[in-house]
Parts: sequence; structure tokens; C-alpha cells
Amino acid sequence: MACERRSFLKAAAAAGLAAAAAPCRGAGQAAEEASEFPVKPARHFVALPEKRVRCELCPRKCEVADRERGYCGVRENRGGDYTTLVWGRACSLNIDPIEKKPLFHFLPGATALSVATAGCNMECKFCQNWEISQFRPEQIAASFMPPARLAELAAARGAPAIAYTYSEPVVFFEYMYDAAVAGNARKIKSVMISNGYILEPALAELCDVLAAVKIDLKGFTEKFYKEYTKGELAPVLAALKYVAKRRVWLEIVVLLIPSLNDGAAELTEMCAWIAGELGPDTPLHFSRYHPMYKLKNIPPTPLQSLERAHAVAKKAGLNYVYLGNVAGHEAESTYCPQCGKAVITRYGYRVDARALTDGKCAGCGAPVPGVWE
Amino acid sequence: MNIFPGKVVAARDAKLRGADGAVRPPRLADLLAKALRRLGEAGDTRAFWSRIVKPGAKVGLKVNCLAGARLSTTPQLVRAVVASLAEAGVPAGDIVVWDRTARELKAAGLTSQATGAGCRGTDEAGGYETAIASSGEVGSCLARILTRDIGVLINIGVLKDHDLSGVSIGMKNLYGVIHNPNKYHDNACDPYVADVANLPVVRAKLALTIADGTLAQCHGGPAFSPAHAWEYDGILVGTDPVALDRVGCEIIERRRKARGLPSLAEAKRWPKWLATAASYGLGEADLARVKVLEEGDGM
Ligand code: SF4
Repeated sequence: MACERRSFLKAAAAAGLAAAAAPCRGAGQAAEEASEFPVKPARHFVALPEKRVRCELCPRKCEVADRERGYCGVRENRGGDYTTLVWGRACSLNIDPIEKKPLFHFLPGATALSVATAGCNMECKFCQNWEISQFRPEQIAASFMPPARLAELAAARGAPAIAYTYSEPVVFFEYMYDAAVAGNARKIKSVMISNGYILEPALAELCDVLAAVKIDLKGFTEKFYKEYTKGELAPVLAALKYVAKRRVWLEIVVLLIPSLNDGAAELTEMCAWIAGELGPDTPLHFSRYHPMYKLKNIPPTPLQSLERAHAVAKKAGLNYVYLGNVAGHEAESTYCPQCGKAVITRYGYRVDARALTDGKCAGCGAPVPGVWE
Repeated sequence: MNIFPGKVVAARDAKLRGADGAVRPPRLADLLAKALRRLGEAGDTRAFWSRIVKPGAKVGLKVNCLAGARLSTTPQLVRAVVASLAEAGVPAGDIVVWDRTARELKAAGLTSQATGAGCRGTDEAGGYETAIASSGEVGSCLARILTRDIGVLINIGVLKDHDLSGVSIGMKNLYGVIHNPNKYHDNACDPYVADVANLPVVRAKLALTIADGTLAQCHGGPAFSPAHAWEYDGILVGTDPVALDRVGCEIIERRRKARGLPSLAEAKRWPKWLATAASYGLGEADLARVKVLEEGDGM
């Protein structure tokens, strides 16, 4: 069904990637034959008695019996061997501006070859990409796109980065890791756009090969996480701290949902935590929510809510606070915390970084943290 | 469409298998016929089916073939159901044998040649609806075979243990109608199994549940575990999906006890969803209130 709304062919063609796309066979036919895609051994699991396994990739730690899959629907126990069904199984492939991820302190104005597979280890009621994240691999059209081919394609398209995005890259860990290694060999950087719901050993391996991570911090209470994402807050905070410690470039996005996660006290606590634990230079993006998936009874976030959140974050001492999904707003741009000069101006995905020279403010020379080349 | 609430027929035949150990199709067909007549208190199966399938209705037989050829709904039982429906005037062309994928059906031996009716996977027959259907905690896209192609759903699962839901007999097999079953295995599948069974379209179309216990399994499910499978040589039949699963649980529990295995409750996977389903009015979860009609060699 996702084939109808998120046509792989259409997306790939729009990005000039038709050569990489497989025919979409639509909902009326078998989405894929098993033989088209390799089934690879999963990493980060332990074997249990009676051919069961425990997946230790994410905090859910699914215990999976033979012939069953974990919560994410993309990792399957086959006779006691745990496997990933999505290695190389790209269901979305586009060339996107890096700002769309959003990453604002990472190669501004660059493009990223953006790839996804089916599956997610959460189920956010407001998921914007549920047509791929909440489906099983065999239920949606996909094309075989092995890691080396991804790197080759990024290079051919002049994209300096590969972004693992749209659905939840944690669940396609093996594919992402191998693609990042292949990209690094060609000097193509890799960025993970994630919910941060991952255990440290797996995250540590990723931090060896990734150049940047964007994590969606979905709220700041366990209650919100439990009720609206089916995940937990604490492991996400642990992942944020770990990435910050590893000095992999980190940005955070908070999708503000009116009345659910935009309370002043919650935001104040969240921003204080970010400033204190991750540092005041951690870019924080507040993004506008639109009704979607299972959360359709709440109207889009009003601009005032976003601006209120922006003020709270600034008050908490965060230096780089942005508003998303509000093209043309001044809070789309990057300002030097020393002199206030706009060092990177943005209008939607149009970017002007001429006031940033060698990672420094052209006005006062203060360094602006990020990955600039 | 719970026409016979609280009633379950447990039918067994100690001579179901021939000298070669294989199920003898005529005896299985006979066992099924007896069970249907008993359930409907009908003189013949035709009379029984006339209460279940209205003339011209398309019938979907939802099988369970997750475990492959060795522990799936058997082609022999499906063939017997198709033949019985045919006798009652439901042509094979109006019947579809169905599960999630064509590949799994084929691997379980569920072909049109083996069953006498067309066998189709959701993946090759329209996929899933684009809209989300909600029921309690469940929100899913439903198989179009269920929503569009059939008017009557006959659920033919397997009498077996399940490591998360406790058992997978009838109601758990309905996870095969939703696109995202992997999201609903927490908390021993409670309330999710009940919520799926309580989807309005499922409630409206589910007319009969049959548990295939020719080979049953008391532990190690849902995959095939030879050490825990046994030739129960029987079937359960009922229109009350809760009562049928409750009786199936009892059979599995007895076998577990005989084998020295902990009870499902001790194993922390008692199917709490049975009580939840009963609270929704889907059927009877209290075994003391279920009328078990024993047929042949009984339960
Ligand atoms: S990655 Fe998937 S299978 Fe592994 S623990 Fe997380 S949800 Fe479960």
C-alpha cells in the first residue's frame, strides 16, 4: 500500500535516481519475492534456549521465538539464527538538502543521498512516515541497493553525505553500518536521523563510522513516551549523552505537539538538561507538528507555541535554537552567539553561509561549532 | 456472528491415521461432518452451513501457515471444509484459502490442488487497506481479502502453544488480517488479541472457528517443535471464538501437565486476552460455563 503513496519510482525519478529504482509492483501483487533480497545475519543479539534469541540492538530487547520477528518487524528468528530482512532493501531513496534532515551545522547547503528501509522500533502516534516505518519489508515496494552501490550513487550525484532517515535506521543497523563503511572509503560522510532508541554497544559501533547524528527527542516525560511513542525516555537520554561524549556531531529535534509535550515546565526542564548534559552549543530544533497517522484530532502547532519554546531554550542558555516547518521565519537562521550576526541565513532549503568563514563568524571571528567541510 | 455462544465441539478419532501414520482424509472429513452437525444440532451438514453461509456469499478460509509444512493448518482439513461447503452448494470458486503471503501458503502445502479451492496470500491479493481500522489498543490496516473480497470468514488455526500469547489457536490467528502484528505482542498479547477479534469487520464476518489438532503442540510454539508436538487427532469447532480458544487452552494445559511442563500461568503467559475478549462480549471465557460437546473419541 505504501507503494501508492510513497512510490519508490516516483521519489527516485524526482531525484534523478530512476536508474537505481526497481519497478513498483503495487499492492495488487506480491511486493517482493524473498529471493530478491539477501537475508543477512543480525548483529547484537544473544542466543537463548529452545532456538529463541534476545535482540540487544535497542532497549526493547525483544525475545523472539523461532519463525517470529521482533517488534520492529524487520528482524526474524530463523531456526535460532537471528537475521535482518532489510539489508540493502531500500524502500525510499532521494537526494535531499541536508537541511531537510534537519542538520544545520553540518555541511550547509550540501545534499545527502537519503535512504530508508521499512520498520521502526517505536510507534509514534504522530509518525510522519508511517507508511514505511510501520510496515514490514515485504509489504512495501523496495529496490536492492547494497552499501557499495549507495556510496557509488552518492558520489555520482555529488552528494557528500548519505543520510539514513525517514523510517528508523536503528532497525536497519547492519545495512547502515556497512553503508557508512563503504561511504567512508569514498570520503562520503554518513548521518543517522534517528529516535535514539538504541543500546550503547550498538551505538558505540555506529559512532565509529558516522559523522553526525540527529535525534528526535519526542518529549521529556516517560508518560509521553509511553503513551504516544511506545518507547521510553531514559534510554534516549542515555543515547544523547553517549553521542555527545563521542564527539560525533549531534543535533536534536523536538516535534512540538500542542497540549501534549509543549508545557512550559516540561520544556524548561528539557532545555536545562540539554544545556547541562550535552552542552549549550547543541543545536535544538523545534518543529511544527501536522496531524498524521493516529493523531489527527490535534491541530497543527501554532507559531506562538514554537516561539515560546524558542524563548525557553534561549533562556536556558542554548546558543543555537531553530524553528522548523515555518519557512521564512528568522529562527531558521544561525546567529553568532558572540555578536549576534546571522552567519548562516536560511529560507526553507535556500542557504547562504557566506558569513561563516572557516567555521568562524565573519563579523567577530568567534568559532561556530559544527562540521563545515 | 456467534450463532452458538458458549458451545464448542471437541471431536477426536483414535483411528484417524492409517498404518503409515498419515491422516486418512475420509475419516477426517467424517470427523468434521460429525462435529458440524453436532454444533448445529442439524441433521446434515447442509443444514448447518445454511446457517453460516448465506447464498452467494464469498467465503474466506483463514489458515495459519507460519510454522511451515509441519505445523500449519493441514491441506487435508482445508480440503474437507471445502468439500463440505461444496456439498452445501458453495462452489469452490466462491472460496478463498488465505494467509499473509503466497510463499508461506505454498510452503505449507496449501495449494489449490491440495485444498480444492484457490489459495491466495494477502500480498498477491490486494494487499492492505490504506486507512487505519481501530479497535481498543490496535490500529492497523486490514487485509483487503477480508474487507472487500469475502462476506464470511472461517478461521482455521492450529491447536498450539505460543511463546508470547500463551496459545495460538483461533483468535491469535486473526493477527494475520492486520498489517502490523509485530506491534502487538507485549503483555502476553493482552488486550491486543481481543482487540483484533473485536474489529467491527472481524466481528461481522467471523462465522466459524475450527482448530486443526490433527497434530497439536503443547510447548515451543509458534514454530514446529517435534519434541512437543503430538498427534491429538482431533479438531475443535465452534462459532464462539473465546470459548473455543478456552477449550483449546485446556487441552494444551493437560498435555503440558502430563509432560511435566509448567502451566501457562506458571510460564507467565496465560492468555489473559481470553477474559478481555469475554468482557467485550465476544464469547465465553469461563470454562465452567462452556458447553463442550464431545464427539467421536472425545476431548
Ligand atoms: S531492534 Fe527490533 S527486534 Fe531488536 S529489540 Fe529493537 S524492536 Fe526488538
